[in-house]
Amino acid sequence: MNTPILETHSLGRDFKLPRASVTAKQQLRHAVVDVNISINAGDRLGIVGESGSGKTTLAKLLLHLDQPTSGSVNFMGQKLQSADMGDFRRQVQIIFQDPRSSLDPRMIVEQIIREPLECLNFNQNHQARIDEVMQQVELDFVIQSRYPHELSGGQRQRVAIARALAAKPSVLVADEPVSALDVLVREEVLQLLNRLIEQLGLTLVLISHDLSVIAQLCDKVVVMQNGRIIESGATQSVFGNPQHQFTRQLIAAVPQLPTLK
Amino acid sequence: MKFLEVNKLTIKFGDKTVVNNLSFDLAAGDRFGVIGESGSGKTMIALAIIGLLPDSASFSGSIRLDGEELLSLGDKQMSAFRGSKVSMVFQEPLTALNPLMRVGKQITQPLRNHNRLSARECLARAIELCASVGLPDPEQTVRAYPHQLSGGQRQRVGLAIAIACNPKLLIVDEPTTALDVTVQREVLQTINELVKQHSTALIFISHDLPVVSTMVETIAVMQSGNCVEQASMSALFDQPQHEYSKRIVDLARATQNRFTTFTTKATS
Amino acid sequence: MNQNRNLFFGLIMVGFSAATALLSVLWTPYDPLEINPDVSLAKPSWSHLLGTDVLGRDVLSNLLVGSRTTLITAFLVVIITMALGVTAGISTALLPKRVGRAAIYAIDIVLALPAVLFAIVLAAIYGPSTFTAVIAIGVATSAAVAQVTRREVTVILNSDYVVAARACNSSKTRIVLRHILPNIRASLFVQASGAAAIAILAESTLSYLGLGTTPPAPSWGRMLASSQQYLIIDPIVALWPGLAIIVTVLGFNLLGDGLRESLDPTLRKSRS
Repeated sequence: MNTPILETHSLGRDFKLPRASVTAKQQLRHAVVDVNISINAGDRLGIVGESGSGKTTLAKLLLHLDQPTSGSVNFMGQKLQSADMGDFRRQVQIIFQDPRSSLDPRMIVEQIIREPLECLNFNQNHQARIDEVMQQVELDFVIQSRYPHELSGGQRQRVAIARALAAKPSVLVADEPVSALDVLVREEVLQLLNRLIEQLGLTLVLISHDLSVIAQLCDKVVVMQNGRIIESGATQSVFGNPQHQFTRQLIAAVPQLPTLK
Repeated sequence: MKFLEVNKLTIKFGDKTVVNNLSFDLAAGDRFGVIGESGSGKTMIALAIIGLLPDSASFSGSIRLDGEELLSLGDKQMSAFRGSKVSMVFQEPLTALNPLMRVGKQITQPLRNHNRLSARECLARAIELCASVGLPDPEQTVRAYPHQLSGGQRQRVGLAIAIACNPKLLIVDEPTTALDVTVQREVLQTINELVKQHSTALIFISHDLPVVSTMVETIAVMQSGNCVEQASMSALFDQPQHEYSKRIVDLARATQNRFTTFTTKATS
Repeated sequence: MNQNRNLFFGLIMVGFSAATALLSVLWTPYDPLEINPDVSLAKPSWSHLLGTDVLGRDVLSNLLVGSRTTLITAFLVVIITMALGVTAGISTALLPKRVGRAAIYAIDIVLALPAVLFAIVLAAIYGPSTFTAVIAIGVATSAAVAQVTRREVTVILNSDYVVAARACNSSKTRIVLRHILPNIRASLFVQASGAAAIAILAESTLSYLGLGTTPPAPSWGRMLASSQQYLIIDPIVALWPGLAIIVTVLGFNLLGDGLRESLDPTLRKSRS
């Protein structure tokens, strides 16, 4: 495909800071500054950065859950407009970091997964699709009638994945999908994501501060600092041969196991 | 007699056993790690030692610190220990500090409780402590409120509070989990230096094996309240005995390998 | 229920008031309005269980009928307060920034004015009655409910699961019905019982001031007011309406606490 599926042009997002006093000048926090990304179908892009680097803001902008103050986001060559989001929403879905807060505590799993099917007017049998996607994320059918607080962290995250995949999107944006999980569960969920992305031919945008997670899932990476992209390229070359000072710092800071020295 | 002797410690909440029959020893200046997932009981161990278990917990066994039996002490007696002999750094720097109190005052609270210093001496000591934990511009920082500091800085304040009275035992519970990886590295370095300088015994609790491995010599692996393995770090990596330990060691290795293949490919 | 003492006692106390109100529809020992100067300020006896007031009216009968006024007032006020307050709370949370801010200021103004002021205004226009008291209290109390609701709704709107709903193109209406209302339900129950307690006290106050239920209709507040003049002679006459108010208000407060306890912990229970 020639047209990138998702693209940003000089994307910028500023936030107004609380005024110091009534007469003081309005200060701005530049959360995202002049970001240019091009994502082709089938890409697996990682967005690396520390807290405050702007990566979550960028994710929300990519999903049109927030409006840019400058620049634009294009989907399939068309600029994203607030009107007529139906098709875009069906194609691009998100998984959040904290499985405790990303699932409505008052809904059972079956209702949680049904929601995107209803809102996006999914044109096949909803219950059949729910069953199908539960199988894909390797969850027992009995889980459908449980509430989120009755599930473990790993199970909740699988439900979040199932919800994202329910309407058959082509792009998956994952914001720190495993950071809140324990180490062993983390591995299981990452492998599940890997499998699903392969099987379903999804395009992945993965946001994380954890370099090893990015290394596991992404073939391309951009590094963000203070709202700007300071380095980008194939994961291998960025991690193997970091050019920017900050990238080198990030890589050096990963704790090393003693015996492997 | 060792500095810290934990013997057959069992902690229960009603019918649920969160720590089962745990025993380990520490000599003065030793560094001990406790690794386990959430729900494995690792935080409960720390709370038991420092005497902050919730009222609904029932416990049995013994914890002897410098010969004194901690589990039989009342809250008043325990508070003489807390801060002066044993102190703790918690996971969440945001919630562990009082948002309405200046940082310097919070640091000197243990000093006022235990050492009875004058206000001027306290201020001087607070500035000194801020410097030793690596906080920039100590004179200004002591006047700051927690929300004005970054996560890493807050955690350093937590450290300063913990070491204010030169405790013989420092317990840190997931001190860097909420921090960025570059900040984590610095904070861990700071903990390392402090512990070495004052020959403080250290108990480091975490779920992250690579992080713990850089900080301690001996480690206990917790799973669902049971200590499934206790060994030196090198023994754990070379020959993990228990199934669970094997899995986490293998996983840590695999993750590391995946990462280093990038870095080695560049140099080759 | 065994462990939830607040709920238990709250239900008993409120239930008791409700029972007396129902009873009063069917039977009262005497006609509460029947004046009998011969037995003015009689002590409690077998013929008048709680004694009589200065005009010889049976206190018990007045108390029973008065409970009707009290509970109906509480009921109507809660409906008005919750309907106005929740609607205002949700809509101001959903409105775009500038409009929302103006609406919030408006609510703050209403909040600042006491119910008594509204009651005076309404009484001046329409003459005092239980009805004007109900409207005045309902509107005044709704402002607080609107504020609390707005804050809670804002928190929910920022939560990940609502963002996820927006990400699958959910309409605002759907988000309100499916996500917001179920998640503020517990809080609404608590606020409603609080509003009921406030309503009873407020109605009593307004009747006391002559701005609520007009004589001769029995009302606990007015009973309290009229007994004031005779406190030195016969303090017991003031005791009964006072006690009735205390028990009912306490009952609603306990009920609210009990409901909150029973509705929330189930959500806090987590396995891992």
